[in-house]
Amino acid sequence: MLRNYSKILIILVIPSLILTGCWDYNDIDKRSIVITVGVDRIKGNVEFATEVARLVPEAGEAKASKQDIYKDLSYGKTFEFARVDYDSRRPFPTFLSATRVVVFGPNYAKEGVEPYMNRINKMYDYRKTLLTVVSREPASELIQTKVKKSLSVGFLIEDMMTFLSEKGTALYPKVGEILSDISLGDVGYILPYIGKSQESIKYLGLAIMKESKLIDTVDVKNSEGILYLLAEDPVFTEIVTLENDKENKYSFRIKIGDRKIKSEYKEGKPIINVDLELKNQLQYQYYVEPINDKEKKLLEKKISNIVKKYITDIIKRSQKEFECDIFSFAKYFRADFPKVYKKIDWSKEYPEIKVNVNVKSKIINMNLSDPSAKQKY
Amino acid sequence: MNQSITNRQIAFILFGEIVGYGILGLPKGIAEEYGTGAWIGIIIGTIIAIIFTYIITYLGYENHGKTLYEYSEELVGKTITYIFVIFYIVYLFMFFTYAIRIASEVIRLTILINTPSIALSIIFYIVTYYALVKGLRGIARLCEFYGVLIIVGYIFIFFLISTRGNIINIRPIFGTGEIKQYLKFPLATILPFLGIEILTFIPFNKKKNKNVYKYTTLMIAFIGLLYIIEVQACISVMGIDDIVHYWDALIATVRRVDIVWLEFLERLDGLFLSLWIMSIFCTVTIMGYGTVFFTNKIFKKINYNFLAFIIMLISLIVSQLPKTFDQIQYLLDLSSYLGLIPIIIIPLILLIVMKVKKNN
Amino acid sequence: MKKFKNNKNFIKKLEEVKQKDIGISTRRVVINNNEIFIIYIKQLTDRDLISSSIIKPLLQFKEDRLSIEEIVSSVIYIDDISIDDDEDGIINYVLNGKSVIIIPREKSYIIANTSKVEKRSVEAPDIQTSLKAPRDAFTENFQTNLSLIRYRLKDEALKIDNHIVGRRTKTSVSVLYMKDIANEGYVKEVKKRIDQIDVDGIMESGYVQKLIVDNVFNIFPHVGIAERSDTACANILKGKICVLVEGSNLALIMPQTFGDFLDSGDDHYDNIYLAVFTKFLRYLSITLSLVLSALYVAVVGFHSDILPPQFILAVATSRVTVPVNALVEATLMEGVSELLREASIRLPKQIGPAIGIVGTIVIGQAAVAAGLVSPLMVIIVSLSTMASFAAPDYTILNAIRIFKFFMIFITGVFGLFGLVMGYTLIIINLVSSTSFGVPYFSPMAPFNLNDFKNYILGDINLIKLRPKYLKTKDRTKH
Repeated sequence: MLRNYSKILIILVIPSLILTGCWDYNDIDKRSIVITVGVDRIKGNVEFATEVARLVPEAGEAKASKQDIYKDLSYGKTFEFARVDYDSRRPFPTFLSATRVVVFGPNYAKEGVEPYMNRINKMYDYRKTLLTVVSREPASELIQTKVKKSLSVGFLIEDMMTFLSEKGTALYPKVGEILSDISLGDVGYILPYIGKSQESIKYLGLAIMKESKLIDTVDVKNSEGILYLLAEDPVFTEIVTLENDKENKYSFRIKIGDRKIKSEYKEGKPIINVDLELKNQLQYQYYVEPINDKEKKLLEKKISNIVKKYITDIIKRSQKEFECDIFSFAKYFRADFPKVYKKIDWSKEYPEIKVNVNVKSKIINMNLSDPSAKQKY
Repeated sequence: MNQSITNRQIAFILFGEIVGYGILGLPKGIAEEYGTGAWIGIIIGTIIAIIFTYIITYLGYENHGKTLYEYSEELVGKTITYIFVIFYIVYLFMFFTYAIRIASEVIRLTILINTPSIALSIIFYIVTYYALVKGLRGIARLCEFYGVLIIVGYIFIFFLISTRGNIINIRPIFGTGEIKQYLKFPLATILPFLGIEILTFIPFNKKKNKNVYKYTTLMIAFIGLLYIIEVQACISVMGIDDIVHYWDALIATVRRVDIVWLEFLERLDGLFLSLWIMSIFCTVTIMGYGTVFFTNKIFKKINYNFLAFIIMLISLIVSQLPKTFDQIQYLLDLSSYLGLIPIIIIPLILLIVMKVKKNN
Repeated sequence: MKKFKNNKNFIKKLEEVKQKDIGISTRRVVINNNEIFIIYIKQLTDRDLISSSIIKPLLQFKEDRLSIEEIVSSVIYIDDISIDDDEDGIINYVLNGKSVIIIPREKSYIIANTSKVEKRSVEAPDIQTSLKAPRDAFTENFQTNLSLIRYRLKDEALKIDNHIVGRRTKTSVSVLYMKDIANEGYVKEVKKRIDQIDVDGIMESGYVQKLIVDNVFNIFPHVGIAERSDTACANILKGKICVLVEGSNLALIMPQTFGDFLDSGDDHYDNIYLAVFTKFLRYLSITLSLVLSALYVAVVGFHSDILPPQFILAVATSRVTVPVNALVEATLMEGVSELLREASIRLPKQIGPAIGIVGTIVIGQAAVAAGLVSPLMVIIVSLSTMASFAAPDYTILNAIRIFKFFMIFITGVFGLFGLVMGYTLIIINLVSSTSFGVPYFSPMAPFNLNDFKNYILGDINLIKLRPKYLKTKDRTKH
């Protein structure tokens, strides 16, 4: 009967599939594991500067080799041509899943990084959670740096940025988040800005991206305002003095207790209210002196003023200088007034909107010290 | 093959059938229609689905031990029943054929770039055939076992995704707040619930399946809840403006999430795709069973196993006909719309006829 | 039944039997001119017993009249004695180790049980070892085994049904079950299948096991084995059926589900948390030994991207010197480990440890040092081999060992997709098969909360009911 053939047919099909199969099979050690990619524009050409893991057994040694990397450059009119050039230098097929960092050179960043962001998004093996940074030097120069602190530039940048963002002194934007911002359209975003210094890599500050183009950078010293608004769980240190004693400085550790961004719509104008609640901890005084409650209040007020100034400064700068909503206020406004948001052109409206910053601060502890203790008894 | 199964199994068959390929594109489809108010759309869809689930369950339960073929024959006569059954066969056949094909295509596009999709399809067909030969009980037990794994796995994944999400992305909770938006009834809300028609080919046992209404309707409600969690988690990560660009919104979301503390499972792709393949497999198997079951009702003389083999073979050939992804998507959409007939129109007709006959 | 037509036939039969050349001895005793023949096989009988309990009393007997009944009731000392008149039966009795006493001119003959089989004493179990369990394992002696069970279950409801199986070996096969617990349907089914066996010989309980299962091509075992008598008794009490086969030291337990294979008897009276933990561990280990190598192939060959970056580099570096690809590597290493396992079973005990040394040093150390396999692969293979020893009943592992290779191949072709599909195939096989009508994968599918809870917790304090899937007559345990 024909019925019996069904089993035979299946038995025949499986081995033939297995024998002709393994279409995608490719061992991990037979792939070029790219660790860092630098993208830049040099003389009208796209330049890829890469760091690739070197997986060659060391001659004469039977043991598995230690990790090592090599670096090279490739060029092309477009990404695709550059990739062809890139692949022509490779011993094995390229493997991008282990890529830690994508570095945009200044030329390319000014031109707009959106195409490469989309490329990362749709390339099958790129991680969507990788770190993108903008460099001060051309990408090739940065990547060719011989770093001693780590195996490769990519590892160094990633470790550095992870540590800094955990501490709250830098932002670690992932490609996925940036893509969401790009698709929203009306907002800008911020990338870390790094550069070469003392034959190594240094975190310089933040790069402001408007319509995916690099328009300005904010130095690390001035970036606190942005971090107060955007960083996740940041910890800052501020130094405050009191009028009566300029010599004595108070060092505070500041955490954000609550950050609320609310919007209003009055008289045809959007208003953004930023409410910050800070939790301060006195780390130490330069000279131990008693602090009374009045002084405490004064200190609290001083801190809020300092922080408020940071924030208002940077918001003003974003409105006047960058003319770009880098804080994603648009999302908050849309959440409250979806219908209004549809009608207005946020990016045109933004330089004019009113932003109220309200900072409350409270000293929650004195680091277990009691400066006002009775000294003489 | 009159095999009664337990309430739990019926509920899990329902789950295995409904939650399948659709879960990938669901966030996109719903978000396109409702914006951030997507969950309202799902609730509307769930309520409609529950009503029809109740109707179909009622038909099956009142006609003890019978499937649609038998009770429809009693209610509306042989000729119309033939037409009904042919509708079911065409719909089930098309759906499961193109579900296999599109699943193969998605797998090819996401994890196995160079593998020809026909090879993936063949593996699907072989395993499906093996499951079909085991009959309804085997499939029911498979769904019961896999159902638990899939539910636990999905909830785990959605939970992890939502921890990486941002609340501002799911606001405004009620969409743009226009009443008009909720009043329109886009098919996108009911299509994710395609699959409740499988209740028509499961014979209910009046004694054993006493609380079956509770099980089926609660399962649909649960699926609705799972969908809401999924859609909200996806939107919270991707943002409403971005998510509408992805047919594979869920995979795209999963790829944007890294859970560092999970070490080996830091990336959820592998786990998610395994679960997804499992759930696709459940869908395909049940649909395939439905096709073979109804076809067997028409061609009674042909042996069930042989018929299953023939249908698998035809389906394999038909599945390879469309050449582009768009064509497959189109055919799948077409069969989804076709699906509205067996899940809404035919049960309604039968219900009305049954009520009229009872009153007489 | 053929009756004696006259007494001469019977002497003729004796001559006939003697000529068959099967080593039958005949002892002729004459008392008061009456001839009496005692027939037996030297090797199967206790000759001291024959001399002292049959011949001696017969010779001392001085009465004239000698009827069969009188001899049985007042002369012979043997306890197990009976009378039969089927002349064709004589040879069977003699072959079974009994002595047949024939008196010419009588219409029937006497059968005295004088059988003596060489047997070993009750020893500790070899394959189902456990820390906290009785150590009386079954032996090859049928009566000993029955006595071990009877000794533990002093209940009148314990039924022992004897069947004779095997055309030539005529092996006794007993079906043991609790009459008021076990489901009659299953008992009937087992008995039916045993009666249907038509084979020339049964050497071991494995023969019976093979001949009574639902489907010959099952990969997973559907009949459990019990080497310890307490395991057998616990299962009988649970409502299962135990089959003892003459000449086999392994009892068969049926119906047996997948979960039962991973349930060690001492779980039930061990620390409850430990029981749950070890059960979880066993499932983990069975999964590991099934998919670990396949997963390695999938990760190295296909989806390295699902690993975190630091792991990708570590895996890649460890594989640099390996000349073959991961698929071949995994197949080879698993093959070698299977080879070692097979070899160590067959090896004489004296050189057994040598294979361990060869295995670990040569295969493990040297292969890595020579760069033939990656260290990771060695870890994986040893882990999966170790894991495969964790199940209490080794028979379930044979299936896993075969599937392991299947999984490696299908993963080698289709990566993660192949892995999931292979796994699905196995799950379909598991959930759709039945062991004597009981769903093989219960209580997981079909799910029953109470059974599942009892199965996972497994504490005798908490198991108040017998499993529902066994459909026992009496469900309450306490």
